[in-house]
Order: sequence, then C-alpha cells, then structure tokens
Amino acid sequence: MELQFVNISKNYGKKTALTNVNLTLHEGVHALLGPNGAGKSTLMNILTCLLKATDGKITLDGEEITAMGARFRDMLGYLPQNPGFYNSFSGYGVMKYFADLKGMKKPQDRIDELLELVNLTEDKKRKIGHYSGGMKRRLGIAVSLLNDPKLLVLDEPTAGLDPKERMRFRNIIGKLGFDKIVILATHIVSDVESISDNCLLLKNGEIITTGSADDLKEHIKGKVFNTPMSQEKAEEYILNNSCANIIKTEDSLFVHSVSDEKPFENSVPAPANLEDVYMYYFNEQSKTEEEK
Amino acid sequence: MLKELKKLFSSRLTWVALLLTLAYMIYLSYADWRGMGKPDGNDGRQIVKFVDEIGVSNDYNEINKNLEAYWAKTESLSKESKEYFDAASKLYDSASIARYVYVDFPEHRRNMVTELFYTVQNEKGKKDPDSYVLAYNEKALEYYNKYIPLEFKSTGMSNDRYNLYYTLYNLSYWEVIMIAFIVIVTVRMFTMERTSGAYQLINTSRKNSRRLFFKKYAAVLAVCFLIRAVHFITEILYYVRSAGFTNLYLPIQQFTDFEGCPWQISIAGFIAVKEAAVLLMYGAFAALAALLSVLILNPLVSLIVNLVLLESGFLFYRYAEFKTTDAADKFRTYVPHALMNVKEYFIKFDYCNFFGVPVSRIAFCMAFTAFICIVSLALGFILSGRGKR
Repeated sequence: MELQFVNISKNYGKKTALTNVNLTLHEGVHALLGPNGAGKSTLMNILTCLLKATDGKITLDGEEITAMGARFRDMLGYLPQNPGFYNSFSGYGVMKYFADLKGMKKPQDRIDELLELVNLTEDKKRKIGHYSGGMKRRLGIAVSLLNDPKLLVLDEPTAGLDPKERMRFRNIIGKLGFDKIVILATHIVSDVESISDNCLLLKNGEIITTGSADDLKEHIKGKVFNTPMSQEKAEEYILNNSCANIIKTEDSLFVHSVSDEKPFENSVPAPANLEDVYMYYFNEQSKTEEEK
Repeated sequence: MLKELKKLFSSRLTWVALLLTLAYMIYLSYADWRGMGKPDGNDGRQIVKFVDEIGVSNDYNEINKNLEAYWAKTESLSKESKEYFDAASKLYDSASIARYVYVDFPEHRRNMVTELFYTVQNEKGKKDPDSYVLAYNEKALEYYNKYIPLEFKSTGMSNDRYNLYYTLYNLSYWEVIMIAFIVIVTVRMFTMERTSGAYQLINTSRKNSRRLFFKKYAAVLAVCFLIRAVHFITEILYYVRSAGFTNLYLPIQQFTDFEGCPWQISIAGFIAVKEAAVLLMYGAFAALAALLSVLILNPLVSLIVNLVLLESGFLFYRYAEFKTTDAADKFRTYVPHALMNVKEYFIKFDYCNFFGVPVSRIAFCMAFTAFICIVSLALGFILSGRGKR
C-alpha cells in the first residue's frame, strides 16, 4: 500500500498553513512531529477528507482519496485531537453506534476485543459522562480501530494518558504498524521514539526532514553535550537557551544541550535522543527565521 | 432514529425546553378549561325534544314563536329560582340551535346560491367577461348548490361554546412556545456533533453526517409530534366532554362560524385536517431550522437566526390577520404560519388565483409548506456532508 501526498498546500485566506507537502508513505508507523501551529492537524484533516487542500492531491495506491469516497472511509481509522462522545451513551453503546456508522454487521466480538485491548472492559457499561479524560481517549483509540483500518490516523493520541496507559498505547501501536500505515501526530517525542519507523518533521507548514529515529539521531551526532555547572549558572544558561535542560543526578548537576558548536570548554559529547533531534531542528529553524 | 433520540435527550437543554413547553401547555389548558366552566350538557336530545314539541321541524314561524315563548318563560322563571332558570336557558339554547340548523342554514345557503347565480349570469352577459371571476363564482356556485340540502342533527353544543373550545385549542401564544421549542430542539440536534467534536469521527466513517441527516430530522419530528399528540388528546377529551364522542361525525356547518364552508366535512374531518396542517407546519419549521443549522456553523447564531425568522413570521401573520387586508390573504396562501389557524380557510369559499385557475387556499398553502419542507430537507441533506472548506 502506498500513500502519496503530492504538492499539498493549504491557505486560510492569506495565511499559509501548508506549503507543497510531498511525501510517500508505506506500511509502518510514521510520526508527524512538530510544535503547535506547525500544520499537523491541518495535514491530518486533509488526509481524512475533513478539509479540502488549496492545492495538490493525496493518493492511495494511485487513486485520489477524495474520489474514493466511502471506499476510502472504509479503510480509514481516525482519532481526532479532541474526540467528542455523547455523555448519555455507555462506552459499549458508543462502540456500537460507531460500528453501525462504519457499516459493520455483528460487531460484538470486535467491540469486546477492542475494549479489552484498551482496558475498558470493566467500564464498558458506564456512561461516558462518568469517564475520565484518559478513559475517553482510550475509547477513542478503540473506536478508530473498529473497522480494522488499513490507514490509521492518530492526532495527539497520548494527551491525557497516564504513564502506564501511554506504555500500553505504545505497545498497541507498535504491533499495528506491521500491516497498516499508521500516522501519528504528536509533540510528545518520547511516545514515538521506540515505535516509529519513520519521523516527519513539520515546521511552519513545511516538511523540514524525514527519516527513521536512528537516522535523525545520526544527523545530530556530536551536537549534543552535557556540561557540568553550578545550579545558578545552569538556570541562567537555560533562560537564554531554549535548547537545553538541566539534569540532576545524586551527586552532580549538568546542562544537557544541543548546538552545532561545543558550548563550554568542559562540555562533553552525549548520546542523542529523539527529543534532541526535535530541539535541534526546530530551534535551528527558528534561528534561521530570526536571521532572515 | 432511536439513537438520535437518545443523543437529543442526553442534552439538558432538550429536557428543559420540553418540560417548559409541556408545563406551559398544561397551564394554558387548565386556565382556559376552568374559565369555560361546565360543558353544555346538551347532547342534542334537548333539541329533538324541542322539535317534537313544536311538531313542525322546518317551520320558521313556528320555531320562532316557540323560541319567544321559551324566552318569556326563562325570564319569568329566573325570578323564581336559579334551577328553573338554568333549565329554561338550556331549552332556549336548544331552540336557538334548532332554528339555525333547520331554518337559518338552508335559508342562507339558498341566498348565497341565488347571489352567486346572478353574479355568474352578470359576468357572462358582459362583452369581455373575466374568465377568472367566472371560474371562481361558478366553482363556488357548484359547491354551495351541491350542499344546500345538507341536513344534519345538532351536537347540542352551542356556537359560543364551540368558539371557546376552538380558541382554547388553537392558542396562538401556545404556538409561539411551540415554534421556540422546535427551533431549540432542531438546532441542538443538528449542531450537537459540531459542539462535542464528534463530527470528525462521524465524517470519517462510512455513513457520514449526511447519512444521519434524515434520522436526526425524524427524531426532532418524533418529539414535536409527541407534544402535539398530548395537545390532541386533551382537545378530544374536551370535545367529547362537551358534545359527546358519537357527534364527531356531524357536519362542521352546524356551528354558525362555518356557515360559509363550501365543503361537506364532519367535525372529525375538520379536526383531522387541522392536525395534518399543524404537523405539516411543524415539519416545515423543523426542516428550515435544520437547513439553517447546517448552513450557519455557530450554534448560537443559528439559534438566534432561526428564532427571529420563524417567530417574526408568526408576528407578521397575526398582524395581517387582525388587519384583515390583502396581506392576510397572501399570508394564508404562502406562509406556513397561517396553518396554525385552519378555521380561517373553512369559514368561506377561500380560493386563490393560480394562473387563472381558482385553487383552494388551504390546499395551496399546505402544498407550498410541503414544498418549503422538501426543498429545505434536500438542501440540508446535500450541504450536511460538507466539512471541506
């Protein structure tokens, strides 16, 4: 299966949200990373046909998705950023309602299986009004998986989940990537580092780079440093450098930073993680813009 | 549709609107019912007795003479005791109804037919007769002539009482509340997904929001029809209490307000037309509100626009009705709000000019309302699938 974005652009009046996005995706987990306002949700909405692109097209195995209509929606599973449910429905009732909307016949077994998967079996008869934010999100994940979609689009799926639920979620998504195209938009990079096959970095409506987490980490090899310093100095440095954070250990304190050059004489190179990649690319982008 | 109803009733707003509407309806019914006092208790047997007494049922002079005698008796008895006065009053009422049914109605019909006959002859005698005037009067002549020999027993319900009954169950202020209820419920139903965020999940499913459009509309109608059913049951209960159940088959013309009604229609038939017209009106209002809710994305703005549009239509209709000008005729032809007072279409030969052909105004208004309903639904259905901007 091949999903292609061809010159996708989107303008809201004079404001440009996306500029010439070109991508080709295959089965696997694709993490769409970018800060707020980067255009992630806009791209998701265009992909799910909730928004119309100003220019360009998206094709699935060569066929334009807007022309596929219900056939495309049959292959699609979508979890929006703020999924809305009906408070008077039970969790099971919501699943049944959306199973009906997705044209599923005899969906009971599938519903039970998915409720088990997202750990909501015991609460399936409770009204949604009594669900916590995390439970609603887990239910949203289950709804998006109802029709066993070939293309799964998840917008900020881990927001509001506790660490245990996030781990559970990562395990679920990791398994799904084998036979589906999973696109996962987030700015919580730690959630996708271990499960993504491909990362797409989006800034100001443009894809700035793509690659696997390891590739991207390789790109910034030698640009990540740990610098031991006093608490006062560290706080002062952090104030002026958004690309750094303080790490405390039992007997010492050091600043973990990303930069092209060694920031201090006593700085030592450190292994990069995906968060460092995120900080490096988006900070560099900001710098470039400021210079312009 | 049941799931859509469940969604609708998951909103507190729906419950509040429903309870307020029902409470207002109960209050109005109770206040008016109480104000009307006891029913006539005159089930028609009094009239039969009266007609038997005078022996000649269709002799105007005889009836009039006896009526005068009863009036004199009533006046004299009223000085003796209230009980006698009440009994005599009842007989007087019976005599009055009998005079209308057996004497006045056929007489007035004959006069109308004669007048129409001369109007037709006069128009035909002109060098250049107006084809519409001719067609209109010929049709009226045909109808009135057909039903001159309309013979009927009386329900025994006095005309004054009928008017009170009709007014009670066609409360204009009640409809103001009902219009507001329809708007609130419809806007809530059609904007629910947008406010909750569920529209994204729905629009990415096989059956997207377009497929839900008619289910939502059916759910709104079901609630409105339920309220109307409560209204209808109280109406029938009141009528039966006043005039008896079996009298529903009698012609509506027995009430003097309907003397000019050209059609042969029973009281039950009139009530059925009235209910059908009101339900059609509700359907059109709900369809229009659904269309505007699809067009206007902000629920609050949609609510305000709907309320202003539909309530102002009602106010204009009432204004035109009081003025009894050409505007009232136009309203009764083109504006669905006129269907809340169906009686107006039945009290005379009410036909309008449709490309030179006289067409029943109520039929035209109902057809036009159905047209508004269908067009609104079709547009709403087409536009409801749009999420692409």
